[in-house]
Amino acid sequence: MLLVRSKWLIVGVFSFLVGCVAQTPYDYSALMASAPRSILVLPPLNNSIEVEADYKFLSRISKPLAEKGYYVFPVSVIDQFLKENGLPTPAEMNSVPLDKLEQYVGADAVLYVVIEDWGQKYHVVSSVTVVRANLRLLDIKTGELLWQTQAYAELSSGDSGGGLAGVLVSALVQQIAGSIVDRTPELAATANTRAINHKDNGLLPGPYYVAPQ
Amino acid sequence: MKFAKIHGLLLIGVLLMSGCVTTKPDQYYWGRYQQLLLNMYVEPGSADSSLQILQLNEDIEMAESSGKPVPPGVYAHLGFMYAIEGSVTASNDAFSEEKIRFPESAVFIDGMMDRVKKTMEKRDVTSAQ
Repeated sequence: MLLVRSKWLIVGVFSFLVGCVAQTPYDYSALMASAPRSILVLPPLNNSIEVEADYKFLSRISKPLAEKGYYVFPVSVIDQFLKENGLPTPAEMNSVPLDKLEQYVGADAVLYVVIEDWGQKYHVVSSVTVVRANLRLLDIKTGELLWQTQAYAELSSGDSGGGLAGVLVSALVQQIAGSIVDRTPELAATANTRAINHKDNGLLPGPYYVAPQ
Repeated sequence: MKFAKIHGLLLIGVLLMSGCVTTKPDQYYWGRYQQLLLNMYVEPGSADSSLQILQLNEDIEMAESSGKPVPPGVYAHLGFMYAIEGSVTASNDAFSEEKIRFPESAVFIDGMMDRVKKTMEKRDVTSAQ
């Protein structure tokens, strides 16, 4: 009896560690009713202290959205277009009314991103690199919130403080990133891919989605 | 025996972790598009329009030989780079390709093509004066 209990306890601890505890079902009714085909990603607002976090993030958001089956407008072309039209910063771009965006871009939905944390933090015996951003998808016609999530990933180095999950993620990311010094773009890719594909509260597949064989 | 059980539990832990996210092989051929987007901002000058045109066209060829489609946005980005170079025909071709592959892009692409045309007309008028 005691053995059985401790087994479940351990499984429970693991579930907790990996952030995969059972959640209340995500309410997809607005997303399903809107059924967007295309997503306009605006350059993110940046609340972190890393000045280039916004555009590093922007370079790693198109792929997971497109792989989920959505048409994603070319992020850099959109950015240049907005800059040429008197909106030099992400803050100004994020305050453009939805009807204007619809008129010029013709997207079904707009993804607003706020970066909350970005980069390396030093602890006593180790360092950890984190990427944390809040994502909100809005219907361009009604402004209704269709989906929201937090994208998060971390890479710990130098100790085992990150727990099993941290070690595994760190190994994976280090493998992908190879010798690149700045690991944050790949961390952002990991964070976005995980958030978009999360089985409990991820984004629903779009019209171009090809299910794995 | 007890050791084996613990190993089993560790395995369950790992499986649970991978079970949180469903992954699949890429359905598009991404090539260097993402790296290019990053370089444009992080290392300005490392990715001028002619280099981008070269790399994007190479990637499009690679996509064709890989059998995977070119991702959303790549042809639009290429069209924009051709427009910066002043290659109107090549720009229109690339923009049109984006629209054919992804009709969702039509409003934005039509606007881009229109602006490229107007810019070129203005440039012609200026150079004729």
